[in-house]
Amino acid sequence: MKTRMKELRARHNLTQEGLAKKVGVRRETIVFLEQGKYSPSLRLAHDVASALKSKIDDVFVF
Amino acid sequence: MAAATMRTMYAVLLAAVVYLAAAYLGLFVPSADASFISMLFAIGTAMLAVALVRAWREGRGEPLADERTKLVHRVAVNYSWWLSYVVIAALLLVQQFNLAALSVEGVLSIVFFAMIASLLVFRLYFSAKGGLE
Repeated sequence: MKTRMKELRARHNLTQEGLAKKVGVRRETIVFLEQGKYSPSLRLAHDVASALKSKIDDVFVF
Repeated sequence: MAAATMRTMYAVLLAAVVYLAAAYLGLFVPSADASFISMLFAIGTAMLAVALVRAWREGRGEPLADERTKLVHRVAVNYSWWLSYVVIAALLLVQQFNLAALSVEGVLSIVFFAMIASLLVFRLYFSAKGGLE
């Protein structure tokens, strides 16, 4: 799985910790998501995309 | 009060109860087994340590668990269960072919240790791996 989370996070001046707090997950989960090592549930993908003010398709490439 | 904070408080209270039980046995029951009292103290200390880590994480505003950590736990329990099953099968073979003299306490200790240790190892492994399909 590929992701543009890092780029979009930087655009919104969010740290990994800040994004984790926004979506209610642990920071390590954000790290693994950004590395493309963890495939999120639809709900988490939606929450991350909302926090980054993007669509799921723009953030994650499954 | 948040549910997680309440759970932490209950864990601390339970640890205190275990400590008090150990202290009561040690001070007022001369016939109490010393190793049992030590075990109670160890359990109380472990519970207190877990509660303190939980409180520290809550204090930082970090969720104690999320969907990835819950998935890691479920997968680790699954693998640990199968490994314990293999350990029990191996012990059965050891007994069957008289390879070693096994006592009930020895077998229970081995299974107990195998279950706990394998769960922790699998949790660490899958947690570090990150991705779970």
